[in-house]
Amino acid sequence: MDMNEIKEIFFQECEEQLAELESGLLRLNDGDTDPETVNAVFRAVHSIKGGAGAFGLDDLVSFAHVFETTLDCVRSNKLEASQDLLKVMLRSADVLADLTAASRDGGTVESSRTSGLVAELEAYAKGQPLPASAAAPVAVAPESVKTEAPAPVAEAPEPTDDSGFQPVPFSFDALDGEDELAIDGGRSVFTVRFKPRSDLYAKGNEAVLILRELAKLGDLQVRCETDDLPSLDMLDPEGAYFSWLIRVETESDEEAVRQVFEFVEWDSTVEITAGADEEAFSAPAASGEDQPMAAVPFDLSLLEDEPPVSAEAAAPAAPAPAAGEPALAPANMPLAAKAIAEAEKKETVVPAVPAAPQTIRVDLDRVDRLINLVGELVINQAMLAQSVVENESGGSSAVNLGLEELQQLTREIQDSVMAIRAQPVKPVFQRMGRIVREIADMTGKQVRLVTEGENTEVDKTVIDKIAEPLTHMIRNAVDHGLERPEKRTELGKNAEGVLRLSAKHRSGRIVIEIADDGAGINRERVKAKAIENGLIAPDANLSDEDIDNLIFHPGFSTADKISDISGRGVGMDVVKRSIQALGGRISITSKPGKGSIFTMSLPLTLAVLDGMVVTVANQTLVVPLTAIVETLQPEKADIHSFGPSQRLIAIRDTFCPLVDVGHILNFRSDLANPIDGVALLVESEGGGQRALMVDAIQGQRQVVIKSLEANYTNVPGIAAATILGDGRVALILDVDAVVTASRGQPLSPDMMLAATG
Amino acid sequence: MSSDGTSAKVLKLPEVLDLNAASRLHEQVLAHKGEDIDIDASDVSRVGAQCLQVLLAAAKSWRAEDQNFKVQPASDVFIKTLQLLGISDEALLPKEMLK
Repeated sequence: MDMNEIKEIFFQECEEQLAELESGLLRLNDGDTDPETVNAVFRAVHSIKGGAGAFGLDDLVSFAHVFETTLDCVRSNKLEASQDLLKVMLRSADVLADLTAASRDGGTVESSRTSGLVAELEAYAKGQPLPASAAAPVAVAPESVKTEAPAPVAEAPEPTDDSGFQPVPFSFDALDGEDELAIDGGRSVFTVRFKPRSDLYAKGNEAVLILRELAKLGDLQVRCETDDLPSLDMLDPEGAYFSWLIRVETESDEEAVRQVFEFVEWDSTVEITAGADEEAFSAPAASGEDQPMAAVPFDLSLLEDEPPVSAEAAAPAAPAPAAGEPALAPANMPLAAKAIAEAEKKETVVPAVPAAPQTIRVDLDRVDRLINLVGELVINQAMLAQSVVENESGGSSAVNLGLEELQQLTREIQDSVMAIRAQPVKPVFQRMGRIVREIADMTGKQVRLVTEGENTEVDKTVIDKIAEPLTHMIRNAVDHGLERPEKRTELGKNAEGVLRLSAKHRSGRIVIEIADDGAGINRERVKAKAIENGLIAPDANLSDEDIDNLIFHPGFSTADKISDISGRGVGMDVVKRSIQALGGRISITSKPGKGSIFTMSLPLTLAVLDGMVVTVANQTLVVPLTAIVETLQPEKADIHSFGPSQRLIAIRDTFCPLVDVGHILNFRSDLANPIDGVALLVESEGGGQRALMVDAIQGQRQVVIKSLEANYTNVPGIAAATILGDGRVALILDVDAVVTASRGQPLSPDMMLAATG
Repeated sequence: MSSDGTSAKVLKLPEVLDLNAASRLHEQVLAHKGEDIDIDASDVSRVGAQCLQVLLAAAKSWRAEDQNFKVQPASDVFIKTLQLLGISDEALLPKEMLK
């Protein structure tokens, strides 16, 4: 596993942590006071910082550190999580996400955003919140964020020490050191303890070369620890006895120093700490001249971290005549103890994370392959079942039993495999929260985003692709849909606009709704604009619905002035196109003064669906079972004509339009006699019920969806295709399209227009 | 340390004192145990830490037995390497280099 892969994993984890961070902050924002929530938020930032430190992502580290410090104050109840603070924190979370993205994909984050927030966060941590405007000038200059990363760190208030917190999340000492990093005219000082093992030499490495490499970085002050050296008779010429204490004064950062030891870190003990270890050097320098061989006193210097212990330990050792061995034990022990202490310190830093379910990361391609294979398996199983039925002679129950079991197993495998790909829409919805915040800030509007059905699962590919159109629609809704706070108050509405984002499963599709409680579509303006742009004739007589749909036309923008956020003239038509590319549909309902609702319905791609296999005009069709409410045999008395070609069917106490599927799909030109067929009562996306008339029901079956768009082209009224047990292709009916078509407009033109965008 | 130099045996070090040379050097030095010795490091163009370990251990042993052990003359590379590694034993570094 090379570094890039590890880094990739780090970024993936970052995404999870960022999501965790945001949802935690939002919970706090909603008044959650559970300390565990604060902890979770803290941990998220902490982990990102830790990982970033290991990869030398300084910008990320320094920002995360400040963020973390403020969070720590909240955690220790030094600071109250006020609404204002949470606002700052939410923005900080956004910046953190940007910094992460910038670290991964290159690019930069506007330094003014970072530095302003750093100043605000620090001010909060110090207990003296700044007014937002004052924050910027105090801020650290952008360049210095990089080179002088520790500067804001050093100024940051001391986090609660009793929690044992030290910014040492990783096994590396990187961050530990940075706090005390000595900056001396841009040069930093590091103390390196380097003890090779014999393996290092055995593998052809050479301590001399490493030190030479290190010397290239800056000025070295080297002291060789020779106490381990045995007497000549006892010496293993290929052993490793020397170790070094090195003071490096360099313009490079710790990472550069560490890189020198990159290839030998497994074969030696390398300890790099920031800052000078002056005592370590001064001691030997003093005694070194008169008693070059008096190695024992040298070692005292090593122990300077724990003076009382080391003094005692070394004192008896000093007079020992045989220079090395006796002194060794005390000399090394405190070091070891220190290492252990450090390790323990690190362990206490990160509080126990609540046990998360174990997960593995799998390449999406592998899952896709599996899904395809399972699809084939399902078809194959259906074929087998069919041929058994056809060859059924004496009714071998064993075969039937086995077949049934096979069917169940296949089904279970299928469900499990599909579940692997299915993901909740939550991450996408969470991202929208941020977009709403940003746009609300930019437009000066007050918006509350309410999300529903975040756990609705949909295929991963769909999730990846809906983010963009969704973003666009959200922007539109805030920018164009919602009114300004003053206006809202004037109109008697709450100054805070509500944007409702919801997801649900409906008829085997996922339906995502974006509803705002804003002004609704200004139809007069839309119409005027459309006439102005030459989209419609001035005297065109359009229904409200038609006018609403005009906004999906290419090159249409309702905003009077073009804003930064939306309305560059490439508005909803782009959204519509990308949704259609997914095999989805988008519609709009708007009530003046009450708001608009955009509804997009997307297929659960690649899914397997339970369908009713029906015959229409000698064609085999599959109707998604999820859409069917009930089936019934129409009786002559129940059928009522309505207008020239419309018919209604009475079902119990209600009338329901009867839709002749064969006619709508142009399988036949005349209307079929309802008495000869079967009616399927379906629920369409709009919520209304329709009775679809088909010739006969063949049975109920599970079918694997094969995309028509991918293999052929989009066919109006048909959602997809499938392969039946006998190897024939059957088309899957797009119930909603058929229902829409039954409302009067013929199926093709509208849909064809849609298909070509 | 000091004095003579005339009576001492001279051990001429090879040009390359890398890790392969350490064992041989160890044997050579051991063979001279008990007598004053001058190490001629003037030809040395490359020296590794392991050979220096041998030499330093030897210097200590000699000193413990009150015998003379000194490196003289020494090449620049030899001296620079010693300095780089922070070894300041006067037995290994020619006197004039110790400052």
